[in-house]
Amino acid sequence: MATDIYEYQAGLSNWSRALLDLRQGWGRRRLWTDMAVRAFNNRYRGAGFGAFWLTFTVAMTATGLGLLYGHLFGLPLERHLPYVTCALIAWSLISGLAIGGCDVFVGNSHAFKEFPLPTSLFAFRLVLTQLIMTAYRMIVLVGVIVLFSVPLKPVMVLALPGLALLLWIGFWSSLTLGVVNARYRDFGQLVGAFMTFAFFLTPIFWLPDRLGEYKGLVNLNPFYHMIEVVRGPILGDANLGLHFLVMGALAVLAPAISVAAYGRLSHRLPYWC
Amino acid sequence: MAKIELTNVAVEYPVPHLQNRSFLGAVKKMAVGGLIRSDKVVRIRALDDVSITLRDGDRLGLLGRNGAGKTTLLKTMAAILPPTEGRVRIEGRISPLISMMLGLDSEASGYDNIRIRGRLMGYTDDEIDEAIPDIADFTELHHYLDLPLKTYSSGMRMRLTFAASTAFRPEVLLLDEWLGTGDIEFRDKAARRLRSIIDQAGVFVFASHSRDLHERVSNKGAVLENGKLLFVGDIQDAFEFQDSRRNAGQ
Repeated sequence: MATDIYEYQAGLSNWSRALLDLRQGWGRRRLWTDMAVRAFNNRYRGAGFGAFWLTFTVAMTATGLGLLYGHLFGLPLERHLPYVTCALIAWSLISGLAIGGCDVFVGNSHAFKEFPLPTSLFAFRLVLTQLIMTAYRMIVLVGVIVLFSVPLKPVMVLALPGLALLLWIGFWSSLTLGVVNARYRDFGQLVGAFMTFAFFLTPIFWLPDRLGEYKGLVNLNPFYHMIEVVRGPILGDANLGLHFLVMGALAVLAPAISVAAYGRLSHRLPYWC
Repeated sequence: MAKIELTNVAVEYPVPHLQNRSFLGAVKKMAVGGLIRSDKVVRIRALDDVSITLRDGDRLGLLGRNGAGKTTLLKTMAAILPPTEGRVRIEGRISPLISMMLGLDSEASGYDNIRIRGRLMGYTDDEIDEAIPDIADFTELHHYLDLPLKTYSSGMRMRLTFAASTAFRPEVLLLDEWLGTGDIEFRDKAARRLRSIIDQAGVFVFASHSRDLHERVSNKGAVLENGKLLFVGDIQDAFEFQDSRRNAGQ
């Protein structure tokens, strides 16, 4: 058996340590898959509908927003309900990753302050938990597609890489959000407030066309592209190339920023949490 | 081969509520930082310039009063706490016998909780499977192991976590206070089991206030005071050193 070696030198660059932590975190996947599944099951244990409450929540919100705004904007329900449903599923994932990301270290400090664990483990666990939750919400999408006979096209499978991009960016972002929030607790509150704000600012239940001459501005909103890489392939979007291009850039940027932030700050986590 | 090497290690805790931890505070500091400097961050120096090397066969007893830094030192050795100064190098699989209840799932069965614990300690599923019969046998919980942990009494939980935590043989074993668990019969059995993994470990570090226990398991002693390592040597000499410090203080 190879000898385990732990080495830490204060004051030296922590990049290699951060990368090692990420490797070790990935290496403990048996642990975090187990933790994620158990926590998920325990959360819905005893509830009659169990985890289908997630499904129900999306169904209810989508129906409400779809009916009301479909009527306000004069859009046919069979168009607007699938439109809102797709966006809500993507948005729940995005906001779950952002808000959960802020809490990823603070909320698990009881574990890594008492037991030697790679801290990235909790980011991996967060992403898996969010993926499971998304799977339950997807049921609504399947229902809506069947109900309104949305035509099935091969391009729809692009929604899967879209989803994968969200998870990938979400994982890296959670490392940055997590360390910053560990140091400045106001940050998590700010992110929470901002996500509510962004929900209304992003074309989730409204169409960019409604902005008239300003409709190009939505392209400056990264959340719009995050939504469209999932919704676009399913319901059709002329700018699919642009959305994937922006997301590709974010998929490179997010790890770069996070390795820098996590490498720079993660060794302080036991002190801040 | 197991080895612990600490070189000029210091640990400084910032005291969170005595310093401005808010975003606003940071912005304010940035805005007026050039004019007014108020960097009075309150810090506690829990370890101060600690250097020590332990090799195979060393059984170190940590002596010191409450707050001397024993637990902080153990956490530094356990790779939990990266020191703020100095260097730490540990060779060998580390197992801290602390937080034995961590990660347990009260809805899961005893067997599942043994797996949870094993995974948390970093063992592979094969290693855990191999250890399960011994753990199950040791707990004497029999058919209870198929029931969820929430049906257990606290004594039964202790048996389970103790058995699972001590089932593996780490090269570096760290213990913060002796683990006394359960009824008298079980306690004797537990003590024997603990002794056996201590004897098999390469390096063992043990923080305790009990000289009686130190005499039985430690061969070296280290005296900590206010985060400083004042003495490292034979355990008996460490006791004497501690006594002389105490007498000198009076």
